[in-house]
Formats: sequence, C-alpha cells, structure tokens
Amino acid sequence: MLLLKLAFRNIFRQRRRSLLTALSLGGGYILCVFSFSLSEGSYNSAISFFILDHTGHIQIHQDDYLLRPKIHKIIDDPQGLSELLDANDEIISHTLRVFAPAIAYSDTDNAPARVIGVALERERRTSTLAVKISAGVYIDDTLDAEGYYSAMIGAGIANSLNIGLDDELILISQGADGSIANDIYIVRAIVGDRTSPDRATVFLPLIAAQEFLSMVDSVHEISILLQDDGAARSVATSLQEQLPELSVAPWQVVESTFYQSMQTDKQGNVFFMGFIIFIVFIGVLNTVLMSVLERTREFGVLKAIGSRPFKIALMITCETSLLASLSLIAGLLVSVPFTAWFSAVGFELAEPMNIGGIVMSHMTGEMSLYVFATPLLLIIFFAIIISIPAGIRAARISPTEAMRSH
Amino acid sequence: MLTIKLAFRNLFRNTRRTVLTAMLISLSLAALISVDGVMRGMLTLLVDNVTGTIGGDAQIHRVGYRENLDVDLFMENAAEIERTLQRDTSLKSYSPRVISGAMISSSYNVAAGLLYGIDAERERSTSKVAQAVLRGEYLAGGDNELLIGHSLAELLEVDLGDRIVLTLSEATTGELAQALFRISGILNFGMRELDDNFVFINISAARKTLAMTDQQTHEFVLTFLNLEDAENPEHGIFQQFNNTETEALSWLDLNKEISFIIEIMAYSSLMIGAVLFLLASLGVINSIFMSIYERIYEFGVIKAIGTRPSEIVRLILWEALLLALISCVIGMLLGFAVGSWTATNGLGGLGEVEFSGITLGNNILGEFHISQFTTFPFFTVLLTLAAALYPARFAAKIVPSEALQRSL
Repeated sequence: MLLLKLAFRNIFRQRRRSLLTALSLGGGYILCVFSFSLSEGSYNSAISFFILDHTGHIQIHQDDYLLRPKIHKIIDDPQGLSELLDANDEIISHTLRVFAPAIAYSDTDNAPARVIGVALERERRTSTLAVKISAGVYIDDTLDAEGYYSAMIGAGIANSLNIGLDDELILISQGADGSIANDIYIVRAIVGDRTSPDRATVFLPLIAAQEFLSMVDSVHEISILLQDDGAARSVATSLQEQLPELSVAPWQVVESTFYQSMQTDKQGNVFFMGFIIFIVFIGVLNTVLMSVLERTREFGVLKAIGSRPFKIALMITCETSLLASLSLIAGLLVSVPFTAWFSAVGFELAEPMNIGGIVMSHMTGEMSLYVFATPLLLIIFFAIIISIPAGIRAARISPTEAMRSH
Repeated sequence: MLTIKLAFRNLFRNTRRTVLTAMLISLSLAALISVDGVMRGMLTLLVDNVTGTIGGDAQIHRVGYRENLDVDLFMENAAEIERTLQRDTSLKSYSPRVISGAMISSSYNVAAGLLYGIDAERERSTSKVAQAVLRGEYLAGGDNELLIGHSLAELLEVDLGDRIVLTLSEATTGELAQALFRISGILNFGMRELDDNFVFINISAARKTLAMTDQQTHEFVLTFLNLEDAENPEHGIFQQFNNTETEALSWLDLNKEISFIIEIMAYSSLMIGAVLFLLASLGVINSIFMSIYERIYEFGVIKAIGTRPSEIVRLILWEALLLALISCVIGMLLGFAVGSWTATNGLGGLGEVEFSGITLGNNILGEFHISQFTTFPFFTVLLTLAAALYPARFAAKIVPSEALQRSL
C-alpha cells in the first residue's frame, strides 16, 4: 500500500511529463481500440450478412461439389438427413438446394441464368431470400390451375427478358440423366435489383427444380443455420463424424478466399498496432529512465537507510504500471462512448469493396471485451516490461556515489 | 554559429535520451516511408491488373450496354469508330470485342460463363490474353479455336484439344445458337473472375455464332500512350464518344471500387503519418522538457547575465532541428533498407488478400518515390520544430531568481 502511495506521489511530482506520457499512452490505446473495433465490427457484419444471405454456418455436399460442382454430385437421402438435422439442438434450421446453369427464355429474348431450387419453407427460416423480394410474393410449391410451378427471378433476368410478374418464363438446361431439361414457369416475384448478386438467378420450388433436372429426391446442398455463431467449426466436425460419406464444411471453408483475406488483413492490423504501441513505449521508456536518473540522489538515500533493491525496482514498476493504468482509464472513458456510437451507427462506404468475393459496403464498430481488453492487456504488459531495465538501474545505484551526485 | 555549437553539445549531454528520442522520430519516418512504398506497390498492382489484364485504359460501348451486358445492344458502325481511333495519336492501341453470356459445356459438365470474341492480333498489344496462355497456343484466326481459363477448364474436366460447346442466343434474332470449339489454349490470368468464367474465341467466329455482321461490335477497348490521358474527361476520345448513342469511360469510371481504394490510399498515408507523428511529437515534447528541467539552473544563469528569451528559444529550436536532421538521416536509411527489401521480396510472410478478384500478397513490391525522401523528411523536421516550440517558450519564460534558487 505504501508502495502504491509513493508511486502515486512520484507520478504527480512531474505533472507535465506524466501528462504528456499519459497522453501518448491513452492516445495509442484509443487508436488500437478504434482500429480493432472497426476491423472486428465490419468483418463480423459482413460475415453475418453472407451467412444469412446464402452461406449459412455450415454446408453439406456430396464429395467435392463445393469446389467442382457437377449435377451428378448429389445428396441422395435428403429426407433422412433433414430428420437428423432437425433433431440436433445446436441447429436453428436448415434448407435444401439444387443448382444448375440454364438458359432462360421469354417470348422474345433469352439470357443465361442460374437456377436454384429451394425448400421454400425451410429457406424462409434459414436465409433472407424472402426479405430480398422487391416485387410480388414469396412463392409456394403448388401447381397453378394450368399446371405450372411458380418462379422468383433476379431483376437482371427480368430486365434482359423483358418480363414481369405473372409472365411466363421458359428454362432450358441439361438434366442429371443427360436429357434436355425444359419447362415453363410463371413469374410470381422479382428478387433484389439489377445490381444484386442474385440478378441472374431463377429461384424455383425444390420439387419443381428436382423434376426439371430429373433428380427427384436428391439435392446438391444443405445449408445450416446454428444457434451459436462461434460453433461452426466444432458442429461441422461432429456432423462430419456422423456423416462420413458426405462433405461437411463450416463457412470458413465455404468462403475460404474471404476468410483467408480477412485473416491476413487482421494480421496486418495487429502488426501495425504493435508498431504503434512500440513507438508509444519508446517514449515511455525515455520518461521512466529520466525519472530514475533525476532521482539518483533520492534512491541513494533510500538505499542508505536500508531499502532493499527489490523494493526500489518494484516501486519503479508500480509507478509505470500506475501511470499506464490511469492513462488506460482515461482512454477507456473516451473510447467506450465513441465505440458504442460507432457500433450503433457506422458508415456507408462510397463504393462497396469486394474482399475475397464478399461485397462489403458498411463499416461498423464492435463493442466487445476483445476490442477493449486486447490493447489494454498489451499496454499493461509492455509497461511492466519497460519498467524492468529502469528498475534494475535504480536498484543497482550505489548509495555513496548517488549521494555525491546532484 | 555559437548557438549551433551549443545546441549540438547540449544534444549529446544525455546521449541515451537523445538516442531514444531520435529512435522515436526515425522509426516513425522509416515506417511511413515503408508503408507508403508498399501502398504505391499495391496501387501499381491493382492498376496493372485492372487496366493491363483485359480492361484497358478506357472502353467504348453502346449506351446502356454495361448495365446488363445485353447482347443486342451493340455498336453498328465499327469501321467508322476504328477510323476515328486510328487517327488519334494519343492512343497506343485499341481492339474491338464481341461479348456474350454463354452456357459452356464439355462432355462432362456444364457451366455458365462469358464469351469474348477478340481480334487476336490487335488484342496482343491491348491486353494480356496472349501472355496469359499457360499451355497450348494463342488464337491464330481459326474458326473453332478457343482459349479457356484454367479453373473453368478444371471444372469442365477438359484439356487442350477437347471439345467445348457454347450455347448462346443470337444478337439480332434472339434465337438459340450452338457452336462447337476445340480448346487451343489454357489461360492463367491470376484473377479469379477471369480464370473461373471466361472463354475467348476469334472475333469473326463470335460474330458468326451470334449472327452479327463484321460492323457490329459490343466493345472497343483502348490503351493510351500516357495513362493520364485516360483519366482526363476532357480528352478528345471522351468528348467524341460520349453522346446519345455511345459512351466512352476511363478505367477509373469502369472500376469504381478501385478508384475508391485509390482515394482511400491517398488519405491513409496522410492518416498514418499524422498518427505516428502525433505520438512521436508527444515523446519529443517530453524529451525536450526533460532536457530543459535538467538545465533549469543553467538557463537561470544565462538569463541573469543578459541572454534574451528569443536567444533561448533559438537555442532550443536549434537543438530540435539537429535532433530532427539526425533522426531523418537514420529514418531515411532505415526506410530505404526496408523499402529495398520489400521491392525485391514483396511483403514476406504476410498472407494474401483478395481484393476485387485480384490476389494481393507477396506480389506487392514496395516502390520508392522521391516524395518519400523529400516531402516526408521535410514534414518530419517541421513537426519536430513545432513540437519544440512549447518547451522552448517555457524555457524562455524561466525567471532567473526562481531558477537560481533550485539546486537542480
């Protein structure tokens, strides 16, 4: 306690110097918090966006369908798999999908399209497809009076084919059995706008797509939404053990290019923040060494009256840690409201950026223990490390020589 | 001269402090030089990839074509446009293209992709298609030659000589058309979008498949002798081709994402510099204050014997200037060393980031620029002097009677 009191008093002996050092410590801390918050917040919001948009937390495919999609690489017992997934408490929901490239026709035009057959009710609970509808209604999987299934089409297709709601759409593709697949559908909804990633996609009811592609009772993909965002890898591993004949991949594998880009960017960020802290601590080292140097005589007296070297070194460490702590408290007081505002509001980028295939358009902060605690612990750690050489120097002072000096 | 001598002597009275403060300034300068070098390298890489690969410095299309790449929105008067382009002396090269979405099928798989019909000879000097040939041969004008991205070839399980069927709709009639090609070359651009989705055939074959005449073209891609011309909206090409029928856009307009990142980069060097030097300035102020406190008795004496406050300010500023100059020399040497290393080795062990389909990583080579060794050190000196003003003012205001009462 006495040590703390002494350290506190010593810090305030040279107010201006302590204030300047505290400013650089506090400033460095605020900068680190802001940078971590921006990076974590923006990436996390991009991750939640694509998880809900189409990826899910986990995807299941046959073989290497994820890398080399082929119409024959099918999961052939989706019902049994659905029952297994429904029984898993860690899973909120899952959806079944089939994919195929096709040519879409209207009466007058045609355009290349990507057909996705989705289990409509499951898809509504798993992805944001229903929310992306810009005109019309979310379809169901019943046939209309004339025996046609409904379709939801991307705004780009609607524009290319010059069609709208209730118009006929003809799709031609290749069936899983090698046959020519072709059928007529009625457009009941337009998805997104002409710039959306789904602009060239045609969404069909799962049953309609399976019939179209001659792949009844089989799917290409199962996308799973989990209760816990952080559990994708562990749940994927346990599902993989239960389903050895299939390939189970967490989103980090499904969006591996994005994930690697994100990791690299974060590494670069940590490296730069490390450098900032290093620059701050050169200044701190200077301050601590100077404060020891100007008190040479004082330490000499302390040693002459019986203070142990360890106690003197400990006092220097206490002073540095206390100064760092006070700076961090001030830094926290500034950064908490700022980060809270930034995580609530954020800002739009003038132009969206494509990072590893994922479009990021909104930068936002994050309020989390990681964001505040990581730089805090780093600074405290460095403060202690930096005080050691100064402490040793103070502890080694010879009383006779010190008392002779000015 | 005496002031300079005194300043120099004072600077080395406490060598450890001076070394630490000089480290603070020089490391900040070295970091700024290195970061700027890497950013310039990254920018060059991005611009090279965007303009050099297939995008060119500028492009001409029919109005509305770019929105959806509608195959029926072509320009009718290719020969007339070519004549105009030929006359323009600021152009290095140009090349016409026919573009269409297509279903690309092999015997094993099918994928949706983009077909580019190109003028093989003109394209050699306009884009990197010829250089991207990984295996096989570049286009020689034959009707059934086809170049395909390596990852698309992998997906379709095809190799050199294998058959590819393109299914697409004719530009004028909208009728479904199919054509058979044989793979003459496998391409590797190093850009995911191109390697995953693109096939290239001769423009004559593309026009035939799409039922277009040899006057009908979707795109003219241009390269300029001087890139700045492409960025100048007042340039004749843009004036002439931006009308109700056609639009001419520079690479900056065609790649908003990249131009945005260029804007950000311009600010980020400034921001990084500001942050580094703000933190370094605090250290500098602190260090100069410490040196003044140590000499407070001394300042009391020189003031008592008649030294004017302005002379004390000058002395402190000279000390700061010498400190800044020494630090700048060290900083520039360090910056040069790090810059030279990144210029030959890239970013070393750091991973890769894919931005706009372009992989950035070890391929980013640091670049030197004259401003790194002129403007940056100049501002470093200026900021160090600015940081020294506050302590200098403090020293000038020292009252001799009070200072002389202190022993230290």
